Amino acid sequence: MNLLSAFLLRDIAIEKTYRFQLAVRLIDVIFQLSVFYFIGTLVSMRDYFPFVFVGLMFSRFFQFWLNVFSQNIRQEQFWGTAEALFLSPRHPLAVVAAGAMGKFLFLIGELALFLALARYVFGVRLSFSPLGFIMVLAVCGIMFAGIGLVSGSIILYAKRGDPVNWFVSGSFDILSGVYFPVTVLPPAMARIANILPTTGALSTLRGILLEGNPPQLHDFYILSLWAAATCAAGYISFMLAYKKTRQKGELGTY
Amino acid sequence: MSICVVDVHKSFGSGSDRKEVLRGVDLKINSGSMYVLTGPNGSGKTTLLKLLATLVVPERGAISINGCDALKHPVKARRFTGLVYDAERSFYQMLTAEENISFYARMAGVDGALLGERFDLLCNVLNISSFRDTKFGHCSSGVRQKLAIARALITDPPVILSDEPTRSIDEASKAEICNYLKTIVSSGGKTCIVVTHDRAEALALGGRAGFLEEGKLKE
Repeated sequence: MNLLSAFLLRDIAIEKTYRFQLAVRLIDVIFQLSVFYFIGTLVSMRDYFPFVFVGLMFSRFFQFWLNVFSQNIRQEQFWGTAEALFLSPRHPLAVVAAGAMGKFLFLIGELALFLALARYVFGVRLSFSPLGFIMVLAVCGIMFAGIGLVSGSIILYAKRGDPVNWFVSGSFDILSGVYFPVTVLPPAMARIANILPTTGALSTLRGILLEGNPPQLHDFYILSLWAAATCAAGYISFMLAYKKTRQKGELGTY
Repeated sequence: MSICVVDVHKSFGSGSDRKEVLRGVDLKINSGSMYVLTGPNGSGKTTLLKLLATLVVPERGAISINGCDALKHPVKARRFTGLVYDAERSFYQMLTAEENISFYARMAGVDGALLGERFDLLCNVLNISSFRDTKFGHCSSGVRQKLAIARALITDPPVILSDEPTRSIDEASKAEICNYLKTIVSSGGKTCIVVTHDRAEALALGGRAGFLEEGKLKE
């Protein structure tokens, strides 16, 4: 708990000095939703905005986990505090994970804002069980955190240029059905899209939020298997990167 | 034995860029003793301290801190060490002196009343009480250096590793810091390694002395 409270208190103190940044992030949510609301009006598809709103929210959640570890590591290296963090008598992975928790609280605020704006400003009819919604996001969060940890490992070791982030982020936007249904993709791409866990997860989330469907146990099994696989990959890659970076004596350089 | 280093080798880079920094360093320091390490720039003094702090791993050799194998159990070994280093860049510029020290202390498991007591004591010893609420980015180099010392000592570690601890510090404060380090070594049972280029400081600290040159340690 000391570790978590240390990072939370630090992040709150830092955010206090960058108040404008917090406001910009919140305004960004409003801008993003507004743009897609008017696009939905333009293409005269009544159901497009509810469809894309869930995609945008899920995309923000995905991008958060994909980037949070690499951004934190890079920022600490840039500030010169990375070595000091790894000097603490804590497992290095615990340090990196705890470092993300402050930002995670801000993410929860953003997601709440997404839901509130969609419901009360843009008139999306939400009929969902909070428990199912939270459970799907929790499993997806673990799965995405594993991928994010692989990305963070590459930054820890190589400092710049992260092909995992670039590839996963790009394919997520095109193939997971964030902006358009995967049914509009060419058959070959649609087949790949249907294999991706993010496509199924997003579809499940849309069912929960917009149609009030309960989450299916089968979906949880599949997502949990992916989550276990990505977490194992994240753990192994991080420990390897940490070991190699210590051998090079470059924990703090960028 | 507080610190035991046996046949440690370390090099950086690869191929034609490879530079062998430490070539078979042996060092044994008993608990409750001061060790002053000197040597020319690039001789491997900071690397040796970072090896002891487990920030860097050697290619060969063994390191134990307070009986703990620092290569096999680096996280456990870190509980026994406090490292004074890089005062200019290893703090958060936008946080105050107290917020910075509290953050690092909490990370190491020191919190609440104990944290307050220790920080008060260190503020008095280091004469930085008036800078507690000053943002680190607004502190002078001397105050930053004192905060680096405070960060290393806030966890009350049995082994203190100091890389030029009095750099940028005025003469009067230098003497006070040297005296404080001597006191915690002699009466507190701490082990302290101080890297310095300052001959007067080395003499003031007393204790054993080592000279590191071209990766070899001579006593």
